[in-house]
Amino acid sequence: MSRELDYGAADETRRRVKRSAIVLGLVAFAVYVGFIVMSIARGMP
Amino acid sequence: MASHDHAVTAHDDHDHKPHGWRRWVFSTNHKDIGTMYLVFACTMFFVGGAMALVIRAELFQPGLQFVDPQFFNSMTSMHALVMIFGAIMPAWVGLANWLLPMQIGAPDMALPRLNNLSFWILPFAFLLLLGTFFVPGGAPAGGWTMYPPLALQGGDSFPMMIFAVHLMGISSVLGAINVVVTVMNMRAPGLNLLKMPLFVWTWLITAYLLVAVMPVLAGAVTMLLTDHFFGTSFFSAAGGGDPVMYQHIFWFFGHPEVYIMILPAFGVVSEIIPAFSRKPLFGYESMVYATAAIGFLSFIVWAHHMFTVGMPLAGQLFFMLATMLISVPTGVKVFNWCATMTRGSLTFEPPMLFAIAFLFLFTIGGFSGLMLAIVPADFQYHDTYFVVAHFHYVLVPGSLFAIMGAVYYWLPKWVGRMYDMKLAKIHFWLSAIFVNVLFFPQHFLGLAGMPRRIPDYATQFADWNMVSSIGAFGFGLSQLLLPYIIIKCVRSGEKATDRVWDGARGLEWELPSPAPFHSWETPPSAAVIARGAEH
Repeated sequence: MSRELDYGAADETRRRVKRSAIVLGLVAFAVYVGFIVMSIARGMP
Repeated sequence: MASHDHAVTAHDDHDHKPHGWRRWVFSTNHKDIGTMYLVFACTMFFVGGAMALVIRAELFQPGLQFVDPQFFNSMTSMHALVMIFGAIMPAWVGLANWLLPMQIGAPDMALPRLNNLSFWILPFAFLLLLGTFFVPGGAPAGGWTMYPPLALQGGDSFPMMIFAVHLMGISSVLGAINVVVTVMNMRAPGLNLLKMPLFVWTWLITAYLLVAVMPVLAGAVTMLLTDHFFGTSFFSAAGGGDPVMYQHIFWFFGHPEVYIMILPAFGVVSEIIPAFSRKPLFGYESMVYATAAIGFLSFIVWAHHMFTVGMPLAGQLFFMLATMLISVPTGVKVFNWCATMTRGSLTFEPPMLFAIAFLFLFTIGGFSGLMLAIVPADFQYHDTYFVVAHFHYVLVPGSLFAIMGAVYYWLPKWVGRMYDMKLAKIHFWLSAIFVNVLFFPQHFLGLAGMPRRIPDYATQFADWNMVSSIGAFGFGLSQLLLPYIIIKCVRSGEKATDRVWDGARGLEWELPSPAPFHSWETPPSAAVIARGAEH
């Protein structure tokens, strides 16, 4: 495997790592806000 | 081996091993962070254990002996918070940090700086939580579940507890994100999902549970905070809110939380039993699917914690049956472990002893859980010592024994030295005997009607309380052996071999002992993966 290809693979892994971390962070934040919003909606007349 | 590694890697900045306090404070190395998590968990285990001993000392005899009721209530609340968020969960994250990269053929966790942050949030969270002992009104005393309106009546400790819970939640979510990202992106080429060790699988599912439910707890306590300080009425009936809604939200977090603490234990036991049976794990794929099934079911059973608040019959039936359904995948696991041992060439080193004790005693906790799932029976058992006995059987000889089994299994790989086998066996037998003396009588107390969270009780409960307290002090004191055994091993243990246990399988055993600072600088070859991933 050439050195160039190695770097390409590392970049791709880095991109995937960043993407999945951001997605999971957003999921966690959405669940946090979602439950509060749901509770507010439930209390509305 | 260490000098060889140093010679090979000294030129590379990524492998430079810092010295002194910087090594720990700024660490981005999965092994160092794992060690810090484990040391932190061990410290909190003894802090929470001391609180448990205050509880059991007070309950040794009827009447008020040592502490006033308010302080007793603080002890029960803080014991739970410290043990759950300070001991068990960080211990699992520590083990994940140590083992996951080694087991999947990765050099480190995918997000090393996030890893450092996840850990260093924890000491501050617990400084805040334990600091509540020194503020007016004392530490939180309304139970670890923080039910309103009781929790809202807390003194200055209330906002400190809420902020501490937020910090613990952030730490857990960041740690979980790191685990998912690492397992999904950093596996060695050729190590597909169904070749991963069970510990990796169970942690992957645990991490998904964490990402989904820790924010729910954070949301619930944020609403408590705004109810207390900003005039909202989420859980105040007077303002149009509903205190029972808090219980629903809390237990939507709380029940998966139970599985967060136990699923990695299933993973550990699934590693240890095959190693000491010298047989591949029976039903590897069914173990994976059973873990996933338990993870899924954990989201739809929360209301079994609150049958007595009153709910429609259909709700009671649904939550009762869904809870009972969990025993199916759990049974799959128990039978698979038994089948793995059947006709195996068994030996009983300390990790195996802890795994077998786990198998028996966790199953007792599972059965009492089934009893509690039955709605009419739960009406009788609710808030009694039967519940205390049940969840302690799941968490102490369940989760904690698995953690200790894991430490005894992988310690030689971590430090490159063997521990004192005889002392470790003594530690096991003392733990196994006293844990039953401590918790089994609590079933009888609960069935006889003794309520939980009380500092004094009717004389009819005196005998079994005394037995339970003797068991508590026996168990607590025997745990002092654990740090002694570990320190002795690190300082003067005999050199361990690379494979350590002849039946051990997995990529971590392909590394030298002690494991090098960075695990797999180049991914393991297909042959190594094939050898390591034999199930």
